[in-house]
Amino acid sequence: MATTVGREEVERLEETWHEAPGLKTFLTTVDHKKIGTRYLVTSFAFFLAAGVEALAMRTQLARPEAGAIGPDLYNKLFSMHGITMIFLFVTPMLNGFGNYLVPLQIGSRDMAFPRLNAFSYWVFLGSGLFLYSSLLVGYAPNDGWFNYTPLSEKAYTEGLNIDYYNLGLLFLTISSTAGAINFIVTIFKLRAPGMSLNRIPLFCWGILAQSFSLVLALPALSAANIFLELERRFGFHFFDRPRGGDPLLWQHLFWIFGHPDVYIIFLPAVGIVSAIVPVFSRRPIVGYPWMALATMTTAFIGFGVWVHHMFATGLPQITMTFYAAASLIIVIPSGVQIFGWLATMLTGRPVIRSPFLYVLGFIVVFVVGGVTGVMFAAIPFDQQVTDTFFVVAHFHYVLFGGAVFPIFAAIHFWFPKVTGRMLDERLAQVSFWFFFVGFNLTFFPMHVLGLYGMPRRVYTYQPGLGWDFYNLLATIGAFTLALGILGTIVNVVRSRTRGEIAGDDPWGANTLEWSTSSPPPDFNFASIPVVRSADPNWDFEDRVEDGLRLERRELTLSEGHETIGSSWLDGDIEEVHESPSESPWPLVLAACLAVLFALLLTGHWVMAAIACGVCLLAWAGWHLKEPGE
Amino acid sequence: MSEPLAVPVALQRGRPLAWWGMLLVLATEGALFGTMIASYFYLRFRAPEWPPRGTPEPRVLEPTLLTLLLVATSLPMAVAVWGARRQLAARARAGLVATAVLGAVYLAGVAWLLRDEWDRSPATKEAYDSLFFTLQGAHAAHVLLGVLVDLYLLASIAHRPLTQYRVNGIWAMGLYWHFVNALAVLVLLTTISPAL
Amino acid sequence: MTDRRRELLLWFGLAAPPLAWALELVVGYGVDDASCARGSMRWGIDDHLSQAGVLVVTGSIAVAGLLAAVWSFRAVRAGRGDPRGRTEFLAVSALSAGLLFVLLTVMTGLGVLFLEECRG
Repeated sequence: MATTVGREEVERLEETWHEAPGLKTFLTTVDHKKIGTRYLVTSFAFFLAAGVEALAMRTQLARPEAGAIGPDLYNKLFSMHGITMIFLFVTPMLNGFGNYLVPLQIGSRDMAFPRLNAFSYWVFLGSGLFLYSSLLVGYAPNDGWFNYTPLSEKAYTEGLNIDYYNLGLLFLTISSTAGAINFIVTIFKLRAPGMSLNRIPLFCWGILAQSFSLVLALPALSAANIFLELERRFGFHFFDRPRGGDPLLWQHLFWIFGHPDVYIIFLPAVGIVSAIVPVFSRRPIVGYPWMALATMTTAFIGFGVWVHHMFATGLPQITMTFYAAASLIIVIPSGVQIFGWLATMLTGRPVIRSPFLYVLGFIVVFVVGGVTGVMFAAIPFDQQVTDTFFVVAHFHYVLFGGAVFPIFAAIHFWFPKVTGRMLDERLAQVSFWFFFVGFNLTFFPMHVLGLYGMPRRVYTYQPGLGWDFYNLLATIGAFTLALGILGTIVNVVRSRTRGEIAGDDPWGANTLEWSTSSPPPDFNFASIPVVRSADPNWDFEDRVEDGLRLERRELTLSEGHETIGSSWLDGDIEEVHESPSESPWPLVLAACLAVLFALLLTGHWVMAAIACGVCLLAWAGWHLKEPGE
Repeated sequence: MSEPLAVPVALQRGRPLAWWGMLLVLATEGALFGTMIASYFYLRFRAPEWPPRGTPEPRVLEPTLLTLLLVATSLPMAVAVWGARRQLAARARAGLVATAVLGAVYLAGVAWLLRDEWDRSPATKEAYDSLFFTLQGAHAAHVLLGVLVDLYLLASIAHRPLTQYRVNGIWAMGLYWHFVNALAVLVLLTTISPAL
Repeated sequence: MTDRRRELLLWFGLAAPPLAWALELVVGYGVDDASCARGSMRWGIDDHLSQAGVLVVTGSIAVAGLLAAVWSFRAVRAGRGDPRGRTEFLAVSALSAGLLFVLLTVMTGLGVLFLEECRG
């Protein structure tokens, strides 16, 4: 820092924004960077749990009639694998990156609702532990991650398995909804001056599209969960035919949520790819407007395709046509994005580093998954391969390709920013190849298995059906993939303390998080940056201006715990927001909710009503202390 | 736009963040009720008779009157918000009190009505009844929450100054209240539709 | 044309085609379900006639939106954008999305009209 003025401002900011290390801060922090890191670590732990579940299944399926795992445990394994991967890993992991990066990328000091942010994390942790406690009592959900009726109704599954599912997801929904609302308001209202709509980083567009989808799609799942619990616990009727219900109602409600859910997963991941491609192509993204638009239109059309998960349920042709048309058209925006990335790479000067490798892997794998996806939009084909391993292959290609590859790319790309150190590049590249080869070896043979008629969700199969070889290949692939993941874990753990020092901007990147230190200071930016393009960190003069503005005490907002509020369209300064600091209430309310859900699970209705009252008191306590007090 | 300089604190233009947050909460709750109402019609289209044979047609008069009462509470709530935004604490308090009292009367009426309905045809009888009670119950729960938060807001401004934070809270709750009233009309129309 | 009206036309161009398709889906699927479901005998809905109606109405809204988007785009090209480029961004988005949603609306409607009513 050049002058005394600048240094004084920074000291004032450090004092205001500093959170003393220790247990108290651990439990009461509202800093988006700490919360983001927590999301990343916790969701990765769930990833490993789901991975172990997968390896167990692959071990059982490696040989016909292996006898390692019985049908009951197998049902729980594939159910928990799906539930964990979708609800406790991919979405929270992407939200972890969102939490850490969105305020930094838009030039803000924190999220719009920092206490709500902390609350979202604690509820996520609570709901994950709630769901996994089911394993301890032997009542893990066992009707698949989509929990179809009538099997999930009381008459066919008496135990708590399904109640764990319903209540666990209702609990988690609170976290996801709160997080989504936080992102939307943050991205719209807290941007740096000059960051008009057409200058918002593409990763933030991805988070925005995801958040709108969460807000509008989660209620369908909640309605389904509420209906089923009322049916199971109190004898209501929604899904049983004899009393005027319909089992297909569950499928509709579930997939009205379920299909947007895949975009909830895919769009932020795609945002990550759009963040990484320009950096390693050494040029701005080709076709920014279309890349942003593709994200939003995919999310929108994604609400109108859900029936394609029900093409084999005997619906009328006209009904199915609505959804077949949309399912075909939705490919167009995704295709546009692929061409956008390819054009950027081909017209740039690509530099191959580990983040870029994972992005290339994503493109290959996702396109394969996309191709089989288009095949499914053709109803006659869909009806042939429904419930076979062809479906399993397809969704692993689009989900693993579309989300896990970008997540690993993100880990490699942003590790330097979060920790201040570089990962070991050679180990990263070796791990990548085990990862890529292992993935394809696991899931490609499943296309063949599906076409040969192997159904999904079977705990074993007879010899002599022509399935043995491909199953064995898939299992070998799974363990290879696991080795690749292990390599990355080792790399991360070792490099945290022994990696090369990264500096502010080791990659020469284009977005604002790279304009501040690695890791960023508690207040993110000493002077709120002013933005004049979609690649602000490549506008070198503007970044020098930031430093000069600090010397003039402009946009430093050092009088309090503050950040800038701006207009949603043009990014014009509107006001200064007072941001809340550490608070115990998010954790307290989350804990009260956990107790409430545990009581609902065990059926103690009166106690649950009391717990509800306690939650309301906690909520009141939270709001008694104003930000700035 | 001119070069941004040192920014004066508390310009407060446009709506507070809490209001936008509440708008999104209402979007999600609206989607929840939309899904439940869609489920109602989904099952209705599949039923040869609706209500099913042996179930009486829904009441029209009492639910309509109660709904009108609830919708009327938008007025005192609007007064409360208007008063709060102009720093007229007495008016804000009066509006909040009136809203809470009338809201409580509404809830008492709904509780009586639902108790009576349950005796005639409980939720456990058929899907028709389950949907009826779920829709009504979910809506009533939202009104109850509104009344409780209303009381909290009253307490928070009872002996304390009307800070911007508290004004924002009342403003956001006003939005919630109007939304719940609009929902009341939708739920009413849905549940009395077989009798229309 | 005033700035305000130009702005409104742009928003109409952006919002109308997607909402038209959404309306076609919700109303079209709703009517189709009502006319083919088990309890439908009482209402006597002519599925094809209704679907044609839905297509005409929503198709018109979508096309109107697309035309508004074209107009807005040309206005920006003629120099009526803003210095930060966000009007151009919105106009390009409206035009591209408009094309996509008009295609989707027409494709859906035609597909529905050529199929037999209530056939499984």
